[in-house]
Amino acid sequence: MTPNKNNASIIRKDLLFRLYWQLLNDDTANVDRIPLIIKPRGRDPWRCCVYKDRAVLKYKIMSILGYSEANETDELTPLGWYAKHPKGTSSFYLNLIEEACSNCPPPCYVVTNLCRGCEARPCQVNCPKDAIRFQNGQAVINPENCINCGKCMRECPYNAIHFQPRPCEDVCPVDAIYQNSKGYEKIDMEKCILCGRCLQSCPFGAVIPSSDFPLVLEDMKSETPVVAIVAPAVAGQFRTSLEKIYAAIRNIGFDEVYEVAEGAEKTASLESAELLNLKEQNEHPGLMSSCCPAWVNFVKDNKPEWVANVSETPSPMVLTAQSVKEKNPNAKVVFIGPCLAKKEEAHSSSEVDYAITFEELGAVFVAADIEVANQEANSMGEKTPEIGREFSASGGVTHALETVVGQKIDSYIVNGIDKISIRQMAKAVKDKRTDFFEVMCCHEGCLGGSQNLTSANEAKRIIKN
Amino acid sequence: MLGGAELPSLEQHLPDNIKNQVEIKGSPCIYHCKNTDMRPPFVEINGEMIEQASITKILEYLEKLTTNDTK
Repeated sequence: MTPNKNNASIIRKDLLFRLYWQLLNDDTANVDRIPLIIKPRGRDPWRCCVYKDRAVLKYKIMSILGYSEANETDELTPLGWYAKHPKGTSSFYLNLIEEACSNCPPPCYVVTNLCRGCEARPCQVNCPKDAIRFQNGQAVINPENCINCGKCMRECPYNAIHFQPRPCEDVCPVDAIYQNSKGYEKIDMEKCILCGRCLQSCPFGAVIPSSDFPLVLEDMKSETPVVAIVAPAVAGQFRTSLEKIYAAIRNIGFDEVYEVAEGAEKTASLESAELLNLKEQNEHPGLMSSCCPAWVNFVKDNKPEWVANVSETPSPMVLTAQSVKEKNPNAKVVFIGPCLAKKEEAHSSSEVDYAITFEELGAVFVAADIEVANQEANSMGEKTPEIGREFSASGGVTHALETVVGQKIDSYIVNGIDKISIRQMAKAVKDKRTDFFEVMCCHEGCLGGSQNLTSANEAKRIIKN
Repeated sequence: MLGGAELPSLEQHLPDNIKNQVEIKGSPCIYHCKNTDMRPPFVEINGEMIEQASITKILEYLEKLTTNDTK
């Protein structure tokens, strides 16, 4: 999902950079000042008052540090204490802050003042449940009868009826988010695939991911070598060369930086071999890609009958980390990428120690005064992993496999998971005429990841230039 | 990072009447986020700092400046 430019997303990044700034300066006491700096007295509040805004900002900082306000035992514990004892992603990947949630009303169709109470009344005539009455010359929808079919909205010639969604529930592809009995949204982590769409869509910024960077920073301050492995989508995040981006990452304090594109080439090679083996069978269900962790989560929870069809090849992240650990077994490996689901994949893998996002990376650059465009370009590896770099875009995995096997593959590409795309894919699986299914949870693949700094279109433009 | 991603495209949005009067300098960071309680993104025009800058806000400001100049 393309990152939205809105105040909630700017505040999230502002909090990240201010927190990291204090951590980089070992000034945890001043973390308590952040809510006051962002929302000083006299500023227009976003909620009822600046004090509520500050309380929510405090809970957002706690969430970034891995503490949920739901488990807060003493409200007087200063943020500085949490900053000194960061938990990273060990307690949760996403936190929905109750205090920030606006208790959005149930999704429903609403008649606006544009209604002219016309003679034709197509809304009323076409309503299959007789849910529309006219009062004081305007249509009124009876919520008891309404089944949210939307026919009235489509029929109204004045566009006077519109649909009011609960934004977070509306975008969730797996119905993992729901309102509890108190009226607050909750995320069912058993169902959640960590696509990050709720985080991008909540107008109150109530969904906040935890960050591993405070823990990475602690390791950087020790003797342990810390190595960054960076997803190919980074090429579209900053308007400068990959060489300068890698130099900037090294300047944060990483001992070494590797391209995950190198692992992606191994993934392409192993997956191609799997595919050629499968094609030897007369009839097969097709091989499904395994590099997108949100997609793999989706299959496990929603389509268990497809689990056997998903490629057994490890993801480019895991293969890159394996090669780093072979060279340097004591190193802490930090994946940097566009995705929340990678945090979970990193957690369950023995090769990757931490995962941070491009959003977190951007905040570190600002906090550490690292100007990416002004870096002296470092030389990259001898071999440019061109095929692996294609993995970041939808269709890139298929193209990489075609390059490896040297022929066109009968493929089916899912560019973004939603109920419709999965239904259509299920038909193709049933037909058994497809050799390879490439599925990316986000529209435009990793270039459209929820934790990117640029939109997918902008990222494509940057890479092209 | 803090909402200024669209600002590099400012040049394309400048109307013809002020295009020749404006010089745009790229500055990825002007270190303002850390030093004031103003809200990002920032743009500096003739020494004046504009907070929460957007293309529309900048154009409005430039129009005002050029109108004052021609008076």
